[in-house]
Amino acid sequence: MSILSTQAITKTYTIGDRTMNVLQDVSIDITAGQFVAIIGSSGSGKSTLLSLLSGLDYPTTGRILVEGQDITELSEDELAPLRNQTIGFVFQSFHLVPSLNALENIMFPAELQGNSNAQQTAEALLNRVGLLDRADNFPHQLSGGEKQRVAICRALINEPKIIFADEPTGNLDTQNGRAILDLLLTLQKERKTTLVMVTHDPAIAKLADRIIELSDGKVVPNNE
Amino acid sequence: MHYRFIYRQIASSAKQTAVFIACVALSLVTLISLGGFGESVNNSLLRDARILLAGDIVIESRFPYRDPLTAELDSLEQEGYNLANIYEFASVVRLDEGEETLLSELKVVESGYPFYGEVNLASGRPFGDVLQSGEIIVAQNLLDRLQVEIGDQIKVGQLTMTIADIVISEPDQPVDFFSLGPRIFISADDLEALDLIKPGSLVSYRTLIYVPNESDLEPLAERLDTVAEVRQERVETFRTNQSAVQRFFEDLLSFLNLIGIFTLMLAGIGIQSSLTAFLKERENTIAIMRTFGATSSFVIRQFFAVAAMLGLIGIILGIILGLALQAVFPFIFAQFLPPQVEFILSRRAITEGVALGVFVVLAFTFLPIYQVQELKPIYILRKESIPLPRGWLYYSAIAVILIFFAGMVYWYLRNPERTAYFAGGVVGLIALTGLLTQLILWWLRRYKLKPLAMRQALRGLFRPRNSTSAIIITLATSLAVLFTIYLIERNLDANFVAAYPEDAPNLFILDIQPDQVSGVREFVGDEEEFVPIINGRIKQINDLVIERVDLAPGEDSFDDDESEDPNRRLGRGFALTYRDFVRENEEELVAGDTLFLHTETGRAQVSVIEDLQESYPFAIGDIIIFDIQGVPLEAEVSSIRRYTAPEDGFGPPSLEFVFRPADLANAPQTIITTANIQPDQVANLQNEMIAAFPNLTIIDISAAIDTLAELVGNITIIIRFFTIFSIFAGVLIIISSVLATRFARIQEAVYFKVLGAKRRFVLRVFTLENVFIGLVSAFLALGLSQLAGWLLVTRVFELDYVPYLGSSVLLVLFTVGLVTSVGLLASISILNKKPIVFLREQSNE
Repeated sequence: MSILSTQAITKTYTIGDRTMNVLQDVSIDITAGQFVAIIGSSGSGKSTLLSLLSGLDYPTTGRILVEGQDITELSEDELAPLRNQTIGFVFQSFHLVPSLNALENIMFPAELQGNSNAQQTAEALLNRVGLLDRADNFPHQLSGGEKQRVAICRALINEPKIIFADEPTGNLDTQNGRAILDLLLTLQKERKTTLVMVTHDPAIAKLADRIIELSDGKVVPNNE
Repeated sequence: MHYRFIYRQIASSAKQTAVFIACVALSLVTLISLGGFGESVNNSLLRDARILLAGDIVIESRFPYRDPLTAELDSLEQEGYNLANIYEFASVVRLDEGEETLLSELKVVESGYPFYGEVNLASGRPFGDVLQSGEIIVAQNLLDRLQVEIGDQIKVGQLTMTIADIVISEPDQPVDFFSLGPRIFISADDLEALDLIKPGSLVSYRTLIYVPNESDLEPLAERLDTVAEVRQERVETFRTNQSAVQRFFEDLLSFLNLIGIFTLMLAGIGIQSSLTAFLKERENTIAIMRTFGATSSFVIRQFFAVAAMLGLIGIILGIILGLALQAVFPFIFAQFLPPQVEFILSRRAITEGVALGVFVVLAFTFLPIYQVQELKPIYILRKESIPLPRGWLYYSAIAVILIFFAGMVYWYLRNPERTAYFAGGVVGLIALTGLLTQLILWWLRRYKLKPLAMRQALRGLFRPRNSTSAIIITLATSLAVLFTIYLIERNLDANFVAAYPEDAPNLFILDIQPDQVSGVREFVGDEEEFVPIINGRIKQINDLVIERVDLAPGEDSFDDDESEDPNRRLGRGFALTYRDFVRENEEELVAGDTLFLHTETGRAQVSVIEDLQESYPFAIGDIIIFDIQGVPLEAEVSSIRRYTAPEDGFGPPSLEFVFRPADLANAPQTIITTANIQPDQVANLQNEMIAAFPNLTIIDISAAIDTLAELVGNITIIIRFFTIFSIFAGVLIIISSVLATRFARIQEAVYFKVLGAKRRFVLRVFTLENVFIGLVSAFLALGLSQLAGWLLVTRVFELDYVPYLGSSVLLVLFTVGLVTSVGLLASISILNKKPIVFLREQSNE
């Protein structure tokens, strides 16, 4: 069953008097519960595709549907519940709120939802990733691997149906990267979450249920 | 120097550069407008000490001169010195025909007055030519109030005199801030015929002496001083004399200058804060410059050049605005200041302002730019936090800034003790505010608020590079100063003006002669007490000889004397009185059964007030020898009285020593009484009483209170005007703080949105953050101003204190509203930032 689909989306940027077609006529369907890897060379448009799929950016043309709902023209505020409950994000640069400690960062999406068990759930997640003793630490007091584990917990706290991960191991060393990937995949399997991950690492892509390769803004048909 | 680079830096950060320029301009506006105001007042009122005295030497006394001084003055005249006597006193004048009366301040002058300066007349004619016997020169408000004009006649004392001209200004009294009535100049030739000066009349006797050779000044003053009666006849030269007006304006200008220094400090903090924000945005640029081989000194030079360019724009803008403000001073202040104050466009104020402004810009730009030198590319590339250097140069710069401000304070006060007090006071105020701020923030940091938005807002206060403490300290101190002034003004108003009870006497009648008592009683009724006043001193108490003591230089009275020395406390002059009854509800006997002994002891009998026992253990039977205007009087203490009426009572004065009528009835005396008259009947009554007794001085208390209220109000408006600049500085600091933390705020807003927060939530977090800052600032300002107000009102003015809770609530609302609106206005562009734009910028870096 399709949880996420695009219909002929394009994305064009205008810089000065130059127009750049970053994505052209991309139509994809992603089945619920799958781990999908989006690969491609630098500048192929994979991060742009992820930002469109996740509703962070708007396509120039085409439509995007999440669980059958057209999100293409939703405003920022209309997208807010979707980002909070249906989607989780894991970024390459972690993007933890600097003024909140690890526990508070994880709790934040649950608290926005008004979840009264936010703290217990967050602590359980921290425990699950082995960071309960780091609950009071602020982002600048954590290592890269620890920050990413906190970011994964934050992405999972509202039990979203889809997790978007943009090069989640890109800023980590091999050992930490491997551990983070294992954690992410384990949790994805446990919770039967759909995972859409941008990566340039073929080894990671091989672990995916499905690979979408982009080249010059278009989906390469062979890999689909 | 890389000019294009400098231009690009300035052009690409419009908001930060605007705040920087505004802070520089604000410091210039403060300095130039205050300097111009001060110079205008100085030029118009205080320039020449000789003019303020109207002579080289002045002798002042509240009594007719004693023989030794009179003889010395006669011999001076024979030696060829020019002397001019002046007699000043209040008297009620009336229309020659009609019922109108008016309490006026008479100044009877001999020819020659003034030796320096001029009495300016409306006609422009020389004062000496106009003031002839039988003619008077009056202030415009006398014409207005009596509805008369030049050439009309009015009755002054026993004479009917013709109004010859209108006085515009007089040199030795440039300001009549608190006068009982309009001025009337009268020639001394008419003094006797006026028949207004009686024994005991309240008259200020003055003699001006013109000393052509300045080297004779001190010896001559010394010569007069040796014959003058100590504590009664004061001899001053233009060098030693400082008039009350001079002191008042010098104090006011000093106070305004201190507020100016305070504003300058705040503007300096704004300059530093906005430059820090500007440089924060340039960190990447600097890192790239360093990566490609730019030396620290090259980087510092470029940014100093940027700061210099911006500073120059700020200075030019400040000069223009400062001059514009000086130009509108006449419209703003004309109604609050004496008419002879001419507002000038002060070049000196501009020169001084620019010099001081340049220093402030240099000093406060040095610190942020100095710290740039440690900015290594690796910190930026690894996104590590940048350590701030704290070398000897950094601390030296701070020391220079502190010394500079202390120097400025000293420059304005010219008094090391006062400088230390003020510097200590400011440092103390800032330190106390800082300490309280840190305590509150420490508590807030640990306080767990349940609602998410509130919790995030609290966390926002501790965002790295947030100027939360600086904003709170700046706002709290400047608002505390403003609100303290407001509280004092309102309290003075409440105590003096609003608190005057309706049933309290509204007329004070002075200078009643003993043979006029029964006549005056017919006007005021039988219930009013007539209090005779006889001036005297204590010479001896039992075996203790009491020496006369002079007032120390600068002292006006013995009111605050807390000396243990009985000579010091009992050696002053006392107002003695006589009566044969204890005042009901106002006093009681604490020793002795009756006010006076029933038996005759062969001596006078006196009842002593209990308070004086603090100075000497007075007891019944003690013998006190008084000196009553040269005549000794031996009296035995017959009772001790205690005041029971509140001290701020409005009735006739309770005096320390009460004699039997028989003992003092024949001494030279003046009698005073009070009356409570319906306001609409005051004019008639005054008129009738003056017609019957021209020598009486009748003071309408409600008119005097109105004058006082107006004076306090005018001064407050002037002070408030200049204090508002410090609020502007606070606003600029809020804006620069928002700009300095712009990146962190955008980051938070974006992360909140990515995690599913709506714009409303982000808005709520930012609003609450500003509300917290506003609330902490407001309550600190309120606490500090209430404390300062209470201390000043109860300890310095010795009045009851009212905290004005309604205004206090308004202060809190105003502060919270100001901080929140300024903070939010500066954050609007942050709220509108799209998450993807920020995230893309971050991933592109």
